[in-house]
This record gives sequence, structure tokens and C-alpha cells, in this order.
Amino acid sequence: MAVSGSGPEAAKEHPEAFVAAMRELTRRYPARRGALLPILTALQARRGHLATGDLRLAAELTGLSPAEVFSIATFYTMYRLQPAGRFPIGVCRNISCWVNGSERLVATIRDELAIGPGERTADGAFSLAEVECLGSCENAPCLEIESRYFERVTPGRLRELLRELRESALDPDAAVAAAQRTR
Amino acid sequence: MPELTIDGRAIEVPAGTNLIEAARRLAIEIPYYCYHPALAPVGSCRMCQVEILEGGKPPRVAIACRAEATQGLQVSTTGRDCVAARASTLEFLLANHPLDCPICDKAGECDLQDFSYRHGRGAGRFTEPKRAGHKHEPIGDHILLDQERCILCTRCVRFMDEYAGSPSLVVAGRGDRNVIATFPGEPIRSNYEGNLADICPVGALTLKEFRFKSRVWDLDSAESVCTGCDRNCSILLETKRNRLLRARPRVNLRVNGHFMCDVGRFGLLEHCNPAGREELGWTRGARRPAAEAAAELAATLAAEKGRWVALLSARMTTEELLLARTVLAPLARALCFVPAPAEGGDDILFTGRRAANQRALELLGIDARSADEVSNLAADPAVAGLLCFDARLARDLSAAAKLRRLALVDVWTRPAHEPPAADPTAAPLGAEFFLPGTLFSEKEGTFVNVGSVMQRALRAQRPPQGTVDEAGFLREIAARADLDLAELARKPDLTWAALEALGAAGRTLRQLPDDGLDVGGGAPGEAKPA
Amino acid sequence: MEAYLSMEFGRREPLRLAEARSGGRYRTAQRVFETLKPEQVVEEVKNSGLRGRGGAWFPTGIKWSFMPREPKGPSYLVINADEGEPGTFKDRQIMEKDPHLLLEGILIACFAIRAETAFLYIRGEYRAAHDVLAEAIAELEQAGLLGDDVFGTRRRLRVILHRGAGAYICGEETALLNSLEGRRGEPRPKPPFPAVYGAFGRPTSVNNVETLANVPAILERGAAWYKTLGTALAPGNLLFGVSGAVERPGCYELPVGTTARELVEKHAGGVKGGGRMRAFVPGGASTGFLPPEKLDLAMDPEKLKKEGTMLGTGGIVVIPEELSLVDALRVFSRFFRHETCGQCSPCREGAAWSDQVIARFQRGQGRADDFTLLQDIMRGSRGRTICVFPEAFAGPLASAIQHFRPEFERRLEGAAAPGRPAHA
Repeated sequence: MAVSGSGPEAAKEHPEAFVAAMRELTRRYPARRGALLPILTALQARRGHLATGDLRLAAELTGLSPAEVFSIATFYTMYRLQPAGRFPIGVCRNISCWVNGSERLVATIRDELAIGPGERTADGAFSLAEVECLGSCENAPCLEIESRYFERVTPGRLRELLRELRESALDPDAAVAAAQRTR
Repeated sequence: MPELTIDGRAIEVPAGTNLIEAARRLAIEIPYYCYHPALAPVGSCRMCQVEILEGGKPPRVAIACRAEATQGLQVSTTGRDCVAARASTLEFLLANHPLDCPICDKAGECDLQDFSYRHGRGAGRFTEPKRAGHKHEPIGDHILLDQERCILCTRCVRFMDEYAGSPSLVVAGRGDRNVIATFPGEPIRSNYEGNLADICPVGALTLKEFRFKSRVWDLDSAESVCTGCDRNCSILLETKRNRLLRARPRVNLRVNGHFMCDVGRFGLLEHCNPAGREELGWTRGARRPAAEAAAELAATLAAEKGRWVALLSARMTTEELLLARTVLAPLARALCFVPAPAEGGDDILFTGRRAANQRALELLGIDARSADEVSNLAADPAVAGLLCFDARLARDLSAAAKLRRLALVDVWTRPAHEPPAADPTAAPLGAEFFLPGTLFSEKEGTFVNVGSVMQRALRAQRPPQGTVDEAGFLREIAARADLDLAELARKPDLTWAALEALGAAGRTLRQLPDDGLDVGGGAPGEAKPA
Repeated sequence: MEAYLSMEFGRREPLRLAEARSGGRYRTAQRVFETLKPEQVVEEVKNSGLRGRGGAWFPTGIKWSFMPREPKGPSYLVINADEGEPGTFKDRQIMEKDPHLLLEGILIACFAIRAETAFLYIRGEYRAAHDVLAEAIAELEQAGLLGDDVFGTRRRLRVILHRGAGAYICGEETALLNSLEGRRGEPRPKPPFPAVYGAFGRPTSVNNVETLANVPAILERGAAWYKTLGTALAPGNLLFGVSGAVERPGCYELPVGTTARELVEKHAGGVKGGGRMRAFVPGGASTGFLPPEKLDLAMDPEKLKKEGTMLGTGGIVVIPEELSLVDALRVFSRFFRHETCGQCSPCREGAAWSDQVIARFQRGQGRADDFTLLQDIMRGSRGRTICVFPEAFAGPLASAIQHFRPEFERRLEGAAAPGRPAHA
């Protein structure tokens, strides 16, 4: 796996204000490393995934070794170390959503986008993951895009959502938020 | 000191002792993987399960590594529940373990094999597809990682972090996707990497230097000490057909704890397997059998009494140094050594002083001189020549200034020792006399380390046919010079004589304690072993 | 029945501080800060019999009493908002709709355990709830209810909102602490308990969102009042969840001890489309499957324990008759395999192995000796690990085989008649 950028260089990829804000985060906790998850989440929000340079920057900010940060990042489902789609879709596959047709949603995505779980569309617009219980069981079946929930999703409404996102001129998170409001 | 019973046998142990160590004192084996005496306990492998009876409560299964030996505790390692629990753990660990034994270096010293045999049920029921992972992947200069064989005991991760101070090996993933890994694309860099192959209980971390070289039960093993620096870590030298295949640490809480450094571990592989070794002696430009060269040199030294400068080496055993002092002090014009500086040491084990027995030289009162002083001495017209027991030193001295007459006694290998423009048809360094010396592994004797601990090193290899060892050469000189060694001969052995010379009570080589003997006055600033 | 937890759940927008205060919120907290001693608060909560609503049902007052009375250095409150138990969505309601209910409980709890810092660990996926809480905390800071001089009593208090990153095991209190510290979310061996060595090595009490939401009412109306609700050993109301194949899935506040039947049929409208249920999960994934005959069970931790299951988080999930119990079990076994942290050999291997076996049953390739094997996997891991994850993955597995064995026998290799699919 190619190494992309060392600590200082990765820092240059991110604006000074951002890095300063991350440093400030480390001061909120009794130990600097307490800020690691918030820092990784913020880094991923910028690029859509965590590059090795991001892991090094996080290591430098928290006083950990890059290997330790790599170990911690790979533990958590929400961290992606490989690029995902601009709209990374997570369809809940746990019990209430399964009872209420989550498998139909996965099938709909396969029909519309020709991708299955763990895959990304060729144009990089969408990727699909099956996720565990999102805690919105009363609104099953649910899916999320960057932790913005879409609830009581039917195959028809899913197709509309995909269309709306693909056609949106907004940046991805704004597009998803806008799509939420029209549900 | 709390007293407890294990399997009906009583024992008293220091407060804070865990049950694994308490049982060890009774020679009762409690099997374990994630536990290691040099690392903090984690309690994740669940191999060390025993039953504990406490104050009238029903027996409970507990892990021994995190259970403290307390007064009145009753422990069973044979109760039905804990026996079943251990067998169950083994079945779980074997589920995804590849059937690599026929090609795995660890066979014969593998804790998974051994505990399965002693604590397992014999048949596993796992018939699903096994997990796949990276196999024989280099993760550093020496270690190959096999993720499939790994049982995730995490000793390696914790060793690199807690002991080697370099948290570069980690667990990546979660659950049954856990694997041992480094930061992508970045190998580990440490002077303690070799220990990973020792602490890994299975064949997940192996040495590329040992890969496929031998089955472990075909190795001959000798207890020795490492001569890479003056820590003198306790080691085992493991040979096959006289070739050193592996050096690994022995536990010695007084000297090196459980580990050794890579400078020593891998340096010994080079050092004890000298390629292109000069096996014959040389006198005045002609090759001679070693015995003849020894006789000729001894005669010369006797005849030219008082005119040679003798330069001793920290590669020599204490016994050789004592003999040298006895024989050469009356004969030589000057008897000295050049102290080596400590360079590039870490504060773990490696001192950086590439002079294994320097402390013995100091304690025996041999004169310390700088290399320049020795150069000047040798250049003095009144000096007939330089008798040097150290090839590296001789090479450095002759590079600095031409030595008129040099008698060199040491192991010499053409590729390793020779300066680039040397003439392969001439004697090493153009010396007038050359005796092929012996490696420390080719004799037995003692070394005194930086902390003044004297340890025994036993013979692990045979020197080439016809070699005269240093002690034999020194006795030859004594004979030629009519020196009386009767005093020495009266002692049970030279170790005894050496100890007395150091002001300690006499003991033979084999009477020395296994973990060494303090012969007085530790050096300041030595690192604590773990 | 008077609701004291779910009053605001019908709102579209969360209840904000100004409206909350004009409705009487934070008066109790103020009274506590101004007139009570920490020990008195602990005593009251102990007397109320409040038990933790995160799934373990441990008495909250007792947990608080483990905290040092004269701490030499900081003590912490950690709020467990990692709600990840499948079928559970009650804490989310509180956080999204009535954040100040939780926050007032946090204030009182911090007072009781002498903590000046509270870490609110919220699962990463709860982005909406996080944003609501962030605003609510900012409101409190502006109003001086958080900061250096809470209610003018010179006491300091701050709430640090901290997002997780997707790991069910971080709902286990010591794994949560590790995750908060920026580590892998792996549980710690106990002892030491968090009250001795918790967040960043300091004495810590970890409490669930709903548990803390109960605290203002207890302090306002008294332990004696609280004990009139629910059951003798588990007083109070509970935010039951009902989801799956029901007409009206939702969160229903009812006394502990309400029957599953009442929850499913009366409040949630019965099985969707008037159908029949095959099984129901009483309290979240770890509690396993029960047959419809058990619907009259009281949803009470003591009763369900006697029944061989648990109340857990009180999240009922109804599995309709047309779905296979083997398939439902696979949803859970796959979940537990995905979520085991992997530290302990029996759990890491056992959760994966049992999932592989159940997958074979799904394909109609079960084997007769798999039943013994699965029992042995559970026996070899329950009680044999650092945390109780094996007890969790064993819940559905053991109950499925106990109550629904014929479904598994129909999926044994060779069980299907020729020409007919294996699953029926």
C-alpha cells in the first residue's frame, strides 16, 4: 500500500485553521489522545475517507504512533481507509429493517446502480455498505448517507433519492441534507 | 507472604504473585499465550484457566494470569471445568489455524502444538472455510509475518510498545477480521526485532535468517553469552553440523531479563560462521600449520624477552586473560589493552561497547592505553614488535601507521577483516606471525559484563582441524620461557584461579551460578534488564 | 398513566431551553444545587430503586455510591448514548426531542458524584441527535447552567459532547471508556471498576441516557412516588420500543411490568396487516426469541430472567410468520460476528464460527451434530471472557434452538423433500 504524504506534508494538505482547530480539540481532553476520534471524523469529512497522510497527521496531533492510529481507525465501522462514493449509502440490515424489506432496498440499488455491498459505482457517485442497527427501528427500513437518515424508504422513493442526489449541484453533504428535507 | 495450595500442594509466595508464577514454583504448568512475565497481563487468550475455591463458595473458573495468590486460596488445575475450558479455548484457536506444521519453522517448540497435545481434546470440529491472510510477509529487517498462523495473543504488539519503546506493530481490524499489521508500507525498525520470533508462541513471527534452515530438534544447543557488547546477555547458541544457525536469549533476571538485541543476535550469526577463514598460521611470509607457527612465535617471544608489546583483547575469556597476564607480564615490555568506547548504545540492553570482556581486563589490572599510545609504543625503536590478540585493533593500528613487526593471534577472514587493497597471497596485514585464533564459541570460559557479573560460556562449535587455541599458545610461551605455572596448575581450573585473582572465593566453571556471579563494583548508568 | 419521560416525543422540533424553563425544567436541578448535599441525592436515588436502563439493570444509586466522597482529583460522569442494541431507539427520542430532560439529569448526577466534567459519548451514527444536543449544551452555557458558576453556587460543570465511530461494543461501559480515550473500543477486565479506574484513569460513573432522564422526576417528586410505578424490584416507567412487523411501531412509555401483549397488541396495533407472529424479541437482540405463547410475560427484569431471557433495553421486535426464524437468527449472528471486538479467543472465534454454522442452516446444509457443537461454542465462551458479549450472542442462538428447533431440523442436509426448497 503506497504511503501518501508524511505528517508535515499532510498538514499542508489541510488549511492552517483546520489544523489549529484540531489542535484545540486535543486540549479539551485530560489526555490529547481523547481527541483522536473527533479528529479522524473531521479529517474523513474533508476527503470522504482517511488517507495515510491523514492518519499520520492525527498521530502527530495526539502523540501516538502512525501504526497506533491505523490500528484504532480500522476498528471502527464508520472510518473508511479507501475512497467511497461521493454519496456513501448505508442500508441497515438488522432485524426491524430486515423484517420491513431492507433486502429489497439493496436489490433496488443493484438494479439502479449495478453495485452490491462493498462496491462503488464507476463514476464514483455512489457506494453501498450494509450497516447494522441505526436506532431508528420505528421507521424501518432505514438507510443513511454520512449519518443523515432516510426513513421508511420504499424502492420507489429510493430511486427518486438516487436521481435527486445525482442531479444535485450542491456539494455532497448539502445535497443529502436537501434531499432529507424533501422526504 | 501468602500461602496457598495448588492441586493440593502448599506454597508460600511473595504478595502480588499471580497464579501462573505461583504454580511455576511448584513445577506445575498452567498453559498460557497472551501472558508473558516481562509484559503487563491482558487476560485475552483465555488459555490459563484454572479453578479457584474461595471461602466456601463453589469453585469458579478464572484466568490465572490476573488472579493474585492470596492467603488460603485453593487452586486446582485439574478440575473438570477448567480442563474443559482450556480444551475449548484450544478448539477455538485451532479452528482457523492453518495446517502448516509440516512447513512451519516453529514445529517442535510451538506452544499451540504442545498445549494441544497436553491440554486439548485431540479432534477439532471446525469444517468451515478458514480465514486467509498474508503469509511469510517481511515486516522488518528480520521478521516474517504469517497472519493465518497468528492466534492474536498480542504479545508482539505489547512487546514492541512496552519493551522496545516503538509501538509499530498493532492489531488492525475488528473481531474475526483482526490481523497483526504495521502502518501500511512501513516496516518496523528496532534493535529488538529478533525477540518477536521468540515471544510469538506459534509460527506467525519467524526469522528469515532461520527459515527452513533446520528442524529445532536437530539443533545442538550450548549455553553461552553474547559477545556483541559488554552486556553479555545470556544466550543459547544453536548449531547444526558445526554451523551456528540461531542464537537466542536465555532468561537471566540478573543480566538481560528475557531478551537480547539484534546487534548481538544477528551479529553472532556472522561472527560464528566466518566465511573465508584463514585456517593456517603464517610465519615470515609463508603458510605453516598452526602448531608450527605457534611454536615459532612462542620461541621468538621467549628469546626476545622484554622487547615485545602485548596488546590483549576484550574478546578473550577471563581465563585466557589471566593466563596471558601470568605469562606475558614477566615477558613483555608492556602489557595493555585499548578500552573501547560505548557508542550508539540504547538504554535497554545494547551498551554500544563492542568489547565483551572489557570489565575483566579492568578488574585484572591490565593497563589501559589509547590506540595512539599503543602506536607510539610500537614505533619505539627499542620495541621489537607488537603481539596483538585483536584483528580489528591490529587492522586499525596498521592503517594508522605501518607496524614494523606484528604478531597477530585472532580469527581472520579474508572478506571481513581485510582492507580492500590487500594482497591475498600475503599474511594478514603483512604480519610476521599469524596464528589462527578461536571464536569464543569454540572454547569454554567466562566473561565479566559491564555490571561486573561473571558468566559461563560453554563450547558450541569445533574450531578448524589443527587450530591451536589462545590458551594453548600461551602455555607454549610459558614452556619456552621456562615460566613456572605450577601455582595456576594447582587450582581446580582456570576459572577458580581467575576468581581468586579478582578477590573472590574460588569456584570452578561449572560451579558458577546459572545466572552469573557478581565479582564486584558495577559500572554506573547500566540499563536495567526486564 | 402519567408520563414523565415522553411528554415531548410528539414534537417536530426539539424542546428548547427557554420553553423548557418556563415549563418548570431545571427548577429541580437548581434546588438540588442550592440546598442539597451530594450524599442526599445519592440516597434519594438509591431509595427510589432506579435501575440502569442501558440493558444491565444495575441499581443506579448503588453505582453512584461507589464514587469517592473526597476525590483527590477529577471524577467524571460519562453518559452512555451509544444506543446500538438492535431494536432499541428510545435514547434517540430523548436526545432528539427533549435534550433538556437528559441534560437536567446530567446536572443532578454530576452534583451527586462530585463530577465537574461530563463526557456525553454518542454513537457516531446519531448525527441529528448530536446536533440537537450541541445546541442545547450551548444554550445552557449561555444561560450559566453550565460553566464556572452553575446556578450561582460556584460549582463548575461542563459537558463535552463526543461522537463515536461505529462499534456496537462501545455500548459496553469499559469499551466506551477506552473509545473515549482514543483507543480501540475493547472492554477492560473488571476489577478495577470504573468508579475506581474509569475515564483517563479517574473515578467515573457511566450511566445510560434513559436512566439519567429518570433522575429529575425522582428528585422532584421523591423516591416514594417513584416506587409506586413499575414493579417492586424494578420501579419506574420504561420507554418500551416496539418495531418489526407491527402496525404502529414506536416508543411507548409504560410502567415496568407491562405485558408484551399489551405493548404489541394494544399500543402498537398488533401484527402488521393482521397477520400472525412467528416470534418476538423481548428486549433487544441479546435477549433472543420467544414464541407468541409467551406474550403474556410481564416485561420486568426479574420475571424475564426467570424465563431464561432478559428485559435488556425493552426493545420488542416482532417477527412475522412468513419469515423464517433461521433467517432471523442469521441477522443476529451476522451482527454479533461483525461486532465482536475480537480480544478474547472464545468470543472472536465462537461468534464467527456460530455465524458460519447458521449460514449453513440457511442454505439447508445443517448437520445433526451442529446442535451439540453450537451448545459447546456457547458453553466454551459464556463466562469465559473479559466482557459478556458471549452471553449476548448466545441469547438468540440458545433461545432459537430451544423454542424453534423444528425450523432448524427442517434445514438439515437432506431434510428437504426432492423438488422442494429447503426453507419452508
